[in-house]
Amino acid sequence: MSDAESEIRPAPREDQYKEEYALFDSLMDELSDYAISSESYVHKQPRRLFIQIKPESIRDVVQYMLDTYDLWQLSTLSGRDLGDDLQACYHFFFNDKKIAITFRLNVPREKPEYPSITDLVPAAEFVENEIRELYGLVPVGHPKPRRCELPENWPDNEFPLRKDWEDPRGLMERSKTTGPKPKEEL
Amino acid sequence: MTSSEKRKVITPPRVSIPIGPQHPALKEPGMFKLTVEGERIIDAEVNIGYNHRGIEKLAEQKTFTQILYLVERICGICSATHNGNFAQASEFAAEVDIPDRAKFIRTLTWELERIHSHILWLGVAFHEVGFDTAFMYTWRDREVVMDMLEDLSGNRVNYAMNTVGGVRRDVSDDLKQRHLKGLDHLEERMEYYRDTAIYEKTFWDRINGVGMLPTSVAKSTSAVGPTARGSNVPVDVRFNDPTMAYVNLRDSGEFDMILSDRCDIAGRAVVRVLETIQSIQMCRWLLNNLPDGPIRERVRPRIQPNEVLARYEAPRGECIHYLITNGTDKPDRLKIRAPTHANWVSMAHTLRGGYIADAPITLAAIDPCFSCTDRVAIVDSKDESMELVTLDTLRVRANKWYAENPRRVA
Amino acid sequence: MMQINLLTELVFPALWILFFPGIFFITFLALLWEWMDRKVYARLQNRMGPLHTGWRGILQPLADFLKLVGKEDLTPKRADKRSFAAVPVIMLILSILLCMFLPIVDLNPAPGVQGILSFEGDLLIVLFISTLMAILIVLGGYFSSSPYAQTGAARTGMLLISFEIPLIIALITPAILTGSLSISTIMNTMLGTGGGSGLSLAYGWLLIIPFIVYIISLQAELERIPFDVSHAETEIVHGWQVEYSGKKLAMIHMAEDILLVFGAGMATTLFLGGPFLLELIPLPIFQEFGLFMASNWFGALYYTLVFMFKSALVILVLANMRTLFARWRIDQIVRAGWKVMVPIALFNMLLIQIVLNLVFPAIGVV
Repeated sequence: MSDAESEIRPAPREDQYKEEYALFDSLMDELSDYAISSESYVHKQPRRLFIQIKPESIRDVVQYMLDTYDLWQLSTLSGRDLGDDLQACYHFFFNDKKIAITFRLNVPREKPEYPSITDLVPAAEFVENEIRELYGLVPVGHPKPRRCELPENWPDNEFPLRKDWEDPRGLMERSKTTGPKPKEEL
Repeated sequence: MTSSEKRKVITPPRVSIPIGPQHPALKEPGMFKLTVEGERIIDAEVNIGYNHRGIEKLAEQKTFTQILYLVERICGICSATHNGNFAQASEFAAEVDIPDRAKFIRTLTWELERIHSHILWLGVAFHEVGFDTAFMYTWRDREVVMDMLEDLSGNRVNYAMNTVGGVRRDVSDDLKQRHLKGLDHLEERMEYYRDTAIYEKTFWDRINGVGMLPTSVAKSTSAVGPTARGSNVPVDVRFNDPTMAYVNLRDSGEFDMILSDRCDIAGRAVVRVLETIQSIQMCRWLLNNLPDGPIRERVRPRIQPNEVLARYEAPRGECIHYLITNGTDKPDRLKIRAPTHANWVSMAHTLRGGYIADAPITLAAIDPCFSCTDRVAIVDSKDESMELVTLDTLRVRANKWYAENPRRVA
Repeated sequence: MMQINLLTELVFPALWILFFPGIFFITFLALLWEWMDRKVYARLQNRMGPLHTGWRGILQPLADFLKLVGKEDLTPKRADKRSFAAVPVIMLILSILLCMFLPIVDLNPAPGVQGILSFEGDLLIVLFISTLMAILIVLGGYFSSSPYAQTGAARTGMLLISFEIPLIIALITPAILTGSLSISTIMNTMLGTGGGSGLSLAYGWLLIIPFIVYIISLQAELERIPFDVSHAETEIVHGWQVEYSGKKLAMIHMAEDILLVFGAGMATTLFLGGPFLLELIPLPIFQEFGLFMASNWFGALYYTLVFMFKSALVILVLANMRTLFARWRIDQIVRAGWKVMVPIALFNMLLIQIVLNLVFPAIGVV
């Protein structure tokens, strides 16, 4: 996707970003089996790393980061609809070096499955459930899959945050409160 | 004589007690299913989602300026949090540097909000353990900081202080003097409440050693904010990943992260009370060192394609806005992670093994912030089982019941 | 002849029980004390309290009662319906019955004041009924078959086993001092108002510890902060009362208020000198004043006002206690009950025996 490429705004290799690049270079070296280097970069905003990884390797990466760097803080997990692919971004914060690391993985829309990391990082329990509901990204092997955000009677095959969700029941239209209500609704 | 094999251990029957969705201890709907034996909690399950309003979806269809006011409505208590954090996310994405004065005023709003939120929490904590007198007193003094916020921004809640590129209202000398006076009063009162919380034995007994969250569990469940800091986990975005005037505050060297190694509710309470006093000092520092200059920078409505992860330490913990822009005046994706969301997992842990009497204060200890219900829990008194029923089903059942049982006339 | 007998033997006693120190007066006091308790509590918390109904909201408790009576009355489907409905009624009846033993005013022109009901051994009946009240609460909780109510009922049971004993020991201390088991006799013997000279002032010192123990246990008996675990609203919604509504709830609230009257009245009667104030000053003029009041219609007003004044002081102390503390957890309450209150009460019994048998004879106190 052309938009996705132009989003990548790598920082210049300057003194200001010395620490970020030091970590980035060592990570890219150590995770060379799992990471896709062409889409990984240091962001211009200070203290931000974005690393694209292969979807099936998320457990290895997280395990490696836990063992080697004690990367314990999982901030959140956000999903994204890229058209052909769906993307999951695991936002970690590296407290020792004070750098936020985001591991991103793309999975094809037809088979949006990747391994769950909840047993490695218990903090992922709620967010992985949430991404399954809202994007249909299935973390395989999640210990407690259940509904947490959407209503119980929400259809199983509808994922509201995907770009192609067309709002079949007119929920977005109904929730608008601009202007007076039509007479028949009063 | 009976042999030891024959000895019978009598355990009380297991009962499920729902706390929520509607419960006096909860100010907003949420469901906590407690399995208890007598007074002991054996298991706890957290159920959220009563307040899912689809703001992330809505945000994709609105311009940046509109989203500012939309995200402000996420929470009434920490409205400056989301408002300010989204403003700074947009500024990062547009790669503009806002004037220093705007940074200071934005930080001042944030810190004033932290004071009001922590005092509110302290009052709620007093109320949860039945100490209503202290609850009334703390909320009376909270009015001082609410008035200050009104003075600063024009509103008591939903301040709408920030805009993309700066802040909307300036601080005059008069206002500065009034605020310094108000801060003095608040500091005096907060020291009194700190002593009340620590030396009032009935209150201290209720929070001491209750709701233990060991450091290792706090880390593995990624607790944030005062919950984590009360368990000696150094997470505070203001010092770890500073933005805005927090850079100046950190560089001044006068402020340091407040941690407690108690790991119980008392630790969290102490962290919050001390943080309030620290916030008061921060506000004073900000007002005294307020730089001159403009208060806003013009930012073009269309923001270049970019992705930013904006973090800010809200009163309850780390608030994250992950913003992806695509060159139009609307974002491609906005992910919001409010701090309470990160604390659910750790809270289920703190509930287990405690008493029912401690459940409300344990729930309140993370300062949960969640609010519109879409389902109802029904407890069957026959077998103590619990089922979740959707609103539509409930309505159908209600209609059926009323059809079968015509209204009794007294 | 017949008519005079009818008047003195039927009509006066009936009015006595129904109106003046009887049911009507007790209800009036209950509502007044509730108002006072709420107002003091509110003012200590920097609030206004009841404000709009009557003079400074004095009619608010009555308005609340009438409102509750008019509300819809619901019974849970799983509840034991007859027992569920019986609990509030029995509670109300028993609490009124308890108040009948309080000596406030009497018809008898002889010196000294008797309760409406008064006989040898009524102190035991009173203690029995006050224990019965706690058991009724436990039953009320279990009959409503809600987890909250049952938890509240279980907590009441725990409260009962830990604070009933200090309460009983505190209340029988005056009985030990005077050697009687009738409330009215105890009071009159102690003060010397029923003829005789009364106990020496030295005995007063022995009543200080039981009085403190009584006030604390009373707070627990009435389930007020810091002992309000059985209907802790933030924990178990409203505890054992959670399923009650409408008239039943109105009756429960009224019974609680009347128990407050009774608790304050017992403190007044057994520890603070009952409805007597000026007579207790050992000067001839006040003795004559006492005789005049006892034989006169005017005395009824005087005794009532003194009784109300002293009860109001007790209510002030109780309201203050309610303001000062956070709620205790049930395990902390039981620990406090058995590790502090019961030993203090027992120790005090021992002390009294030693003082009565060894010290007083030695220093010549009669």
